[in-house]
Amino acid sequence: MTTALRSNVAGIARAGAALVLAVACGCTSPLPNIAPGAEGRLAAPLDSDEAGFWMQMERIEKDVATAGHRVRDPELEAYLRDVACRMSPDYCEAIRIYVFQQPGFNAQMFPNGAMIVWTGLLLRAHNEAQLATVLGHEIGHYQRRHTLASWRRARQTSDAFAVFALAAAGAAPFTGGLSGAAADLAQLAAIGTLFAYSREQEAESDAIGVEQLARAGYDPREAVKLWEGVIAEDEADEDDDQPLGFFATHPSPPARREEIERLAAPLVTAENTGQVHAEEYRVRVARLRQRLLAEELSLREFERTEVVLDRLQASGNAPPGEIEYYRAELYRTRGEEGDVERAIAHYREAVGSGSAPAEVHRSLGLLLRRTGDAAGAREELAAYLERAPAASDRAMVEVYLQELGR
Amino acid sequence: MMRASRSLAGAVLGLAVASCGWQLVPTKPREVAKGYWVDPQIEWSGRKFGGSELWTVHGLALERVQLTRAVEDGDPLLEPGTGSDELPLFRSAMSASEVVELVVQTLSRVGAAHAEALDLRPREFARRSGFEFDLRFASASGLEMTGRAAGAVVDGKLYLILFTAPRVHYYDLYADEVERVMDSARFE
Repeated sequence: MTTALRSNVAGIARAGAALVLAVACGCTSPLPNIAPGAEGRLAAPLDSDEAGFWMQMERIEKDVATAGHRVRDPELEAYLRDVACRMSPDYCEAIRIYVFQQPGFNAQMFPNGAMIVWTGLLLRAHNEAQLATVLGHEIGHYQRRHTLASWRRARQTSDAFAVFALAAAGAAPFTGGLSGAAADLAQLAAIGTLFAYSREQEAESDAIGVEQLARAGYDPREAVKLWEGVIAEDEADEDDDQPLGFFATHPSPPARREEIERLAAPLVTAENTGQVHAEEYRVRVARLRQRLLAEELSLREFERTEVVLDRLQASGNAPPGEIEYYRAELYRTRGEEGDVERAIAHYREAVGSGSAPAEVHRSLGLLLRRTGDAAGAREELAAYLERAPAASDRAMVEVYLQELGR
Repeated sequence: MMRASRSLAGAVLGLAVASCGWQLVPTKPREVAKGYWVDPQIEWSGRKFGGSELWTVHGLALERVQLTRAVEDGDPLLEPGTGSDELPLFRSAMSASEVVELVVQTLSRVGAAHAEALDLRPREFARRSGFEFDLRFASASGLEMTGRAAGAVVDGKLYLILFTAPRVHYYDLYADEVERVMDSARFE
């Protein structure tokens, strides 16, 4: 997860998970499905613990709705909601989706029907069927009231509301006033992890998701492909500080992939074979993609990002020049031995492709300037200004050009 | 009247935060890093934050002036302990454009949302060829923030003054003072 945030949240997640493990002494009986109903309304009696729990969640959802990290993009939210409704028509009215600017591969479901989708997920799902896999899984948690069950387990040994408040208070990092205090992503993550799902709950939601996927007319094998991406990233990155949520590591990703493959096989039909809705998804996400790639790079998890770029390239969802540009940006940012040369080579590939953003010329020009190639730097910086004459950093680039002896 | 209320607010805050390492920053030039001097222009409440200084009047969430220490090659912009162990690092060879990226990524890593830099332009800073740029982001709680940064890379070290505040009311309240602070930077 991003930031300070990411490592911070990972630590909180571990603490939260440890707490849950500590209190989850034995399993309670599965709860019946939540009753399908209108948005934000709970069928349970007002004096029930479930109603009290919902009240807490509604308070948090208000913070979520106004949080700085929320991506206020009604068109995108409407699209995600359409996919969720296609997956689960019965719960369509009950689900509210919020997109959060958050690189990394995750989604988070609250028990009252609020769902947070991380922007990093949009970069990693390559078609609508893969996106639907995650939404269906999360709706499975909602439908089966998994969070309530986890919370009841937690209450057996603690005052969960108090724990809740402590988690929220403890989550805010000291950032010298940079981030503000309320609705911090770290707080949301901490709250989520207090009620982490059990192995059985994750498996149950996986099964619900795959079944919904097939029923909605998507090729259910796309769920397997999504998990292959998770596994590839995990294998590339030895640091396992991944936050809990959709990609909780229990059961392990390979075990979950294997089980999903087993579940999907009998659900493949002539009608749903190959139904992935790739083009519609690509168009919806295309205008966000460069921003998502830049956010991904800011995580500085270079091994994971290499996998993300490889898979994005294989999907055909991004033009080659864009992939090469961000690959070059990755090497320039990483700065290990040989990375300058690697970056220059990929920038040149990007320029040659004709499909890279104008910034490729600026980045290449500045890197050539660093290596002492004044003529090459001049050429690229001039190309940048030619392609982006209204660039907001034009005055600074003109200074670079003067220094290079235009 | 405005000035009086600012002074009063500053005094109240000064009292409130005195127990947390905050002190009154007197209105006389001060050496922020070795040989690097800045004139605060007005009385701020300030504290050391790693080797850097943080100044405010009403509180860091409402206006925040950060005067970095001399950031050396391989150091983060913020000191360790700011909530992240994975902050991007300054490199002596960085261009102004890369410093902008460093600032934006650092802000994002410590919780700023939708951070972006605008209008990178040249600026004389401490009588050296420097740069300045504007910033826009949202706080975690959704408050629209704005900012300005000015600085220079001198002898391979980054000297930066970074001002951030809520876009509504607070940024304009101290923008002129901070501009004069930026103008006052000098090496002796």
